[in-house]
Amino acid sequence: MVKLNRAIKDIHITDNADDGKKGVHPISWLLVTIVYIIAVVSFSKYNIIGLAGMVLYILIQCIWYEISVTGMIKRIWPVFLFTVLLGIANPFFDRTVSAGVLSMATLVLKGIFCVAASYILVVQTGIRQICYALHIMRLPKEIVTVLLLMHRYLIVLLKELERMQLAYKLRAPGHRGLHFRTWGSFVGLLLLRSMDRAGEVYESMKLRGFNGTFQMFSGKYSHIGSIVYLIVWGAAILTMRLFPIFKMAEVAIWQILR
Amino acid sequence: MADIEMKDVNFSYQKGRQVLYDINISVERGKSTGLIGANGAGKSTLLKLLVGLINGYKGTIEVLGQPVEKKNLTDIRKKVGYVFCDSESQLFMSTVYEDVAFGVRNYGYSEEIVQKKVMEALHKVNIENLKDRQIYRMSGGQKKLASIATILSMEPEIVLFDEPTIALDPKNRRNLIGVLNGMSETKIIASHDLDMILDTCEETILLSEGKLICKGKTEDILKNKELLEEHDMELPLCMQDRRGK
Ligand SMILES: Nc1ncnc2c1ncn2[C@@H]1O[C@H](COP(=O)(O)OP(=O)(O)OP(=O)(O)O)[C@@H](O)[C@H]1O
Ligand SMILES: [Mg+2]
Repeated sequence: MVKLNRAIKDIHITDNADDGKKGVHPISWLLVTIVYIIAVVSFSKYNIIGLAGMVLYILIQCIWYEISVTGMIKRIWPVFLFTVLLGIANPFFDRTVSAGVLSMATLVLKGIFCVAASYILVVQTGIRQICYALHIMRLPKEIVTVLLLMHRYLIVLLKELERMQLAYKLRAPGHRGLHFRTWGSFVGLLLLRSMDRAGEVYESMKLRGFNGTFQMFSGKYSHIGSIVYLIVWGAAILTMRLFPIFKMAEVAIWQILR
Repeated sequence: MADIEMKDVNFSYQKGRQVLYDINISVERGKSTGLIGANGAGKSTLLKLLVGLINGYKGTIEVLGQPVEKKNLTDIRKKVGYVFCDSESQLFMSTVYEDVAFGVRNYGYSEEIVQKKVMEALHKVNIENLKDRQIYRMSGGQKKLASIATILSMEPEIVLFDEPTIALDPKNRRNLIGVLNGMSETKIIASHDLDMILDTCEETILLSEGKLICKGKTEDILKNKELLEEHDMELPLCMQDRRGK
């Protein structure tokens, strides 16, 4: 119940109303994120020191835009588990065990960084802005609209689930979760109900002039700000990619100490 | 000329189960018409036919002089607003502002005009203060007012309401009645809230099991105890009180 509620809230965060408040065009956000992800993925599987430097992007974003780090970790820790599972065999099959551990750690880090970057993108811009950016980048209208509709449908589904779960709980006090005998009818009904509901939402959209494509509204963006954002972050990410920041810092600190 | 004209309309969702029988209705411009009848009488069905949400009817339906047919739907829907019974279905964007703006944007207005129209609509239903509120954090009454604003922002000529006062507390209900009375558009209001109908509509249509029983001045119909009871309804509360005294 509580979890469901949080899920609904989370989804609403993804379509936050900050449209353009940050002044940076969503396309800049999107491009920077893509560049970052490419940079992260391109590290070789033993270059963990270089890869570790990429954490700077995440940290700076979190600090600059006051994104809650704990909130982020809570939401992306399943990715951590998942990548650990993926890499669990590495230590046994790699050249040596330590090389295997290293490559597993890189894999886990890569997974976390990519998801964290996407998380920041979504939280900062919202699904509508991202779709707007995709739209400008010439992604077919149909795909963008389907993305937005899917996002809507997910909300409808979760809300319907919440209602049904509440109704069930009230009449089955003391049960933990759903009794397995009711699963079938519960899921079936959930689908029917959410389809009905989604149908009504769609009708209401049609009645308000929706003709198959979302009218993309671009907020008020600062063009210069967007370009600067893109260039500065592009350069920063490139630097992080090419130079092992942490290692260089270490060397520098040693030199100063000496 | 009437804004809404239905002639000999018959309708069924499935073969063999007719829902509406020979309906003849005409609604004059600027008039408010109540649509009453017991559960399942066909009120929602009738409203949905008017905006082409369901089709396959027999007879003729004309809205603002245009027959309700596929090719006219875009045009008709531009001028006819439909307030769903359930605001959850009506509101689907994240904030009130975004939702109210949705319809206006679809008709390609510039962002300044969109803003102007949105603010006007919010003003009409007195919820300017909720402009940036996230919809999932609002009460049922607030959502209802917001969903009416989503329709008003499109400046329709006709507005159809399906049970607008359902789930409203007395204060919000009175507020809504004020809003309804302040609207100059042609309105059809389907509801079980006969007191509200009495307060907002000059004329009333009584449906029962898909048949049009009568149509006339609201007071005449709602005062008629025998007529109402024959069709599974009761006198408005305010009239029941008067009798009790
Ligand atoms: N989608 C549908 N498919 C099949 N039958 C339907 C459908 N919707 C409604 N009906 C049937 O049509 C009849 C009229 O329904 P309608 O919803 O128009 O009644 P109503 O007057 O709005 O009732 P209420 O006051 O309960 O809202 C009912 O008998 C109902 O069972
Ligand atoms: Mg109904």
